[in-house]
Amino acid sequence: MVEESRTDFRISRRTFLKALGVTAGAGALGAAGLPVRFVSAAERPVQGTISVNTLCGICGPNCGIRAEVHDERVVALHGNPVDQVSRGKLCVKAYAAIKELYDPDRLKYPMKRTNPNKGPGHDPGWVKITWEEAIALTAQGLQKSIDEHGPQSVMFLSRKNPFLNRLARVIGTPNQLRHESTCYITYTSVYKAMVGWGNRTWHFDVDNAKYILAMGWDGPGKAKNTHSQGLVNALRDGAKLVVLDPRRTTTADMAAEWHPIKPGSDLAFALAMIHVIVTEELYDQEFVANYTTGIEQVAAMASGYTPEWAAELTDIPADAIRRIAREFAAAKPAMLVTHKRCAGGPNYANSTRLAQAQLILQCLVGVFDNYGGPVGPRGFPSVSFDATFPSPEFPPMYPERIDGWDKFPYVRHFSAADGHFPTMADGILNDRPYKVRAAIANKYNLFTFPHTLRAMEALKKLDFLAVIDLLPSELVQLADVVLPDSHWLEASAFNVRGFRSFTPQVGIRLPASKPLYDTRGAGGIWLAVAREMGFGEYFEGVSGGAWNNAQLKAWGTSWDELKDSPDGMFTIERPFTPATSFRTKSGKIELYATAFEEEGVDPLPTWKPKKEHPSNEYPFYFLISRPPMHKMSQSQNNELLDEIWPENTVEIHPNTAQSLGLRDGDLAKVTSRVGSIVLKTQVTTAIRPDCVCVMHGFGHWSEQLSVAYRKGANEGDLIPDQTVEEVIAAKDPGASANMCDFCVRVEKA
Amino acid sequence: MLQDGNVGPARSTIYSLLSRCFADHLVVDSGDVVATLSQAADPAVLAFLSSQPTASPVLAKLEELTEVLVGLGRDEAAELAAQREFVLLFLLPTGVQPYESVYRDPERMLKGTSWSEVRAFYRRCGLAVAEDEHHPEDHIASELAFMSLLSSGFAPETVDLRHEQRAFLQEHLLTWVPELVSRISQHPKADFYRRVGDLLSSWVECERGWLSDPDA
Repeated sequence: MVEESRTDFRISRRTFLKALGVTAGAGALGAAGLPVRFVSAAERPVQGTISVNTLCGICGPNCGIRAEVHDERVVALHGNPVDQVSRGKLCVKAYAAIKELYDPDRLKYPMKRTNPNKGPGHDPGWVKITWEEAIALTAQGLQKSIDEHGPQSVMFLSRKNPFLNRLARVIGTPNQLRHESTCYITYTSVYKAMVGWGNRTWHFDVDNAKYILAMGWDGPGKAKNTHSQGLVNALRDGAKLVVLDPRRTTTADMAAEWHPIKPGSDLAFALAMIHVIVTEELYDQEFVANYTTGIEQVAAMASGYTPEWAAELTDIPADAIRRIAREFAAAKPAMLVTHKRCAGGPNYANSTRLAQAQLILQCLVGVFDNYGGPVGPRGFPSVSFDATFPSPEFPPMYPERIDGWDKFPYVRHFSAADGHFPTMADGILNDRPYKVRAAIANKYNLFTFPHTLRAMEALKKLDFLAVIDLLPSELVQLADVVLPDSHWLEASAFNVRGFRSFTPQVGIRLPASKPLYDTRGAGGIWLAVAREMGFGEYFEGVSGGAWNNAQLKAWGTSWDELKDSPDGMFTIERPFTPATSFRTKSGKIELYATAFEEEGVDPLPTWKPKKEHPSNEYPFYFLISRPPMHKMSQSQNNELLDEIWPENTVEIHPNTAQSLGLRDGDLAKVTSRVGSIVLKTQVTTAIRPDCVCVMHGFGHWSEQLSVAYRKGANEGDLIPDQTVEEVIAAKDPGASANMCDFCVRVEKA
Repeated sequence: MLQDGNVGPARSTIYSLLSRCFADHLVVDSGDVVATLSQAADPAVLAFLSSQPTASPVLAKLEELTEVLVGLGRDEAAELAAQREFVLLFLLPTGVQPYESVYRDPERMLKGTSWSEVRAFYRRCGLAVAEDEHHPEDHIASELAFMSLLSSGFAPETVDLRHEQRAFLQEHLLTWVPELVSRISQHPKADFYRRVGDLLSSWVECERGWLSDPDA
């Protein structure tokens, strides 16, 4: 057939039109025969304005949304007032999401690469392909790697998904890598060890707190909807807000006190608070006695951590530390609100211990899992995917991992995470412990990885890479096959309310728009790849709809009921009662974490300094933050958000700028021990003179991001990545990317 | 002239050919390009174009395009290059964005005001783009396919075909196609689709001429 049709064209220009004309008639064309199919207007009647219940897909809380849709066009998004999380309000990122939905820059069809050269400056030579071809090519890419290098040579970079998890198990690869090492890992480990919960809590009842201590937490500065609403409500009701942060953040501007603490020293501050509260017996004796163990060991540990000791480490006067500790103990309830981007997040070598100390403090003032404190999730019992969809026995799983995760049992045992991003590049580039040659990445950009350029070199080394994404990001530029994702406003899902859940509630995401292009969600892609690889018997009866319904039915509702519910929410009305027992061995919150002790990890948050300190070569602390309207490195192509905050800068104190000969707007070169970036200087008094700060998410080099292209710089190029040996040596149960634990020098570019 | 019995199908065929070129990349083996070109090469179409002085550029461009297509049929590398060019020009942001809304609405996004107006126009003529299509109503391929339908008489009897064709040209195609073609021809990677753009350009100019003829 191929030869025949090509032969048809081997006709000279002179005779071509005539030759074709002989055999074809130009009769009237029917609607069905056209390149774009039309139907009678009666088949697509005018759809008036309707409201669609959906859930935001930008960040973790998945705020409840009512999408206003006029004649198949999403015209506005409103918060769903029945949702405990959004409480009828949304953040700037959500309000701007329609612009992303209708961004003409989106990936529209599956594509394959025709130019083998990868990286900045190389045109991938994309060619449009069908989904069938895309899935077949992806399955072949994985299979070829399995045949040549073994099942462990296949890697998946994706958030948790049961379909993917089963696919990895059927293949027999242990390499599912998720991003928690750059996210919540410090807190999840501490919660697991001390409280016994499978994850940290996401719910901080800021509304009801009377005293709020933020150790680098900047919810309002990052437009975190739920807890920012809580903070505003609490301040309105007279709560006191105290902020420790090397930068004068939005939250600091709202606070009664801002203390520009030395970066990475918050643990010393927290230990001194524990010292004051314990030695002065200011703690909630009833709570501590009834619900915790280990107060004696905590007291012994803290005996030397006086405010005077901490003052030197933190640059905060001892009397201020003492006073804040006393105020924190006296105010009821007192809250230590945290987030992954605060000092206890994945930022410093001592962040896990800070997370421990923060949990101890919260228990000392007796508000754990209670109004005005961190509140555990009131959710639904988990439903087993394997029990719902039984499968044949899986092949043996290869024991070693490319990121060394198997070698960190003290992390694995306490973590809801899977995998360690900072060691991935070292493993792939050195083929240690083996070759990884094929991967599928799902909605992670390159900028997610520390030492981004090295991560890029590692991913370029793969023989096959498929990327699922919404926009033509940098990682898409390295792909062999592009699998275009549907936008969350085009998708169906549900989400259990976790970021504020006094009572169990689940919300539904219904598509506000039909898919604009030929796109698919990741769940369907995992299934299609699995079936194409011949693993159909492991996925009998599995579908997104069946899995959704299995869970919802177990909780007392169903997809159809939720779909038809006027509010898109299923709520079990139940009075809120604080937990009285916990899932540790003792059944209490273990201030002295015996679970850590059993793994050979320090059960108490004894003082440990951050890893790197200013030197002659690298004299400045490096801080990373995020602008309120942007979501990581995903939103810079949104013109609305670009208009407000188009690029990042290096923020420098005026005295420092003067000593470096830098003026506002000058190009500055920022150098760490692994890389350099060049970006504009922003002179500001809102930062300590010994620190510089760069916002994350900028410096896009994919020219296909037409709005974001070449604006600012990627601070990830400065963050050192890690070797497996370094992680083992640190023996940190919340082993993270230590994203701010390095220093830099700054000079005029 | 527009009432002439042969003219409608001839115009419909050229609109259909142009729509096909923008709707998807070319796969010579698939045969649909051959079929579409076959229709364009119908004696009636050629006779119609030959008979109109203003249509001679269209005929010339059609012949040129045919020659290139013959070349694609002989040369797999050239066919692949045209497929890459299609993605670069019409699917990726560094291309030309084939949506009327992007050209005419200040927000530079899909489903803008122009999209609503195009959609309303189709409805007025008793038509709608099928729900499973991936091209929005204001994609160039959709607009050209719509004109193909109207010029072939494919609409309810109550529709004043001549009036609606004039109106759609004036209110939509002619408002942005010249800019689209200009962007295509100025694009450094444009080659095959520069010729398609030239054909589109000469065709809408031809249509503009007929529209200004009170006897047409």
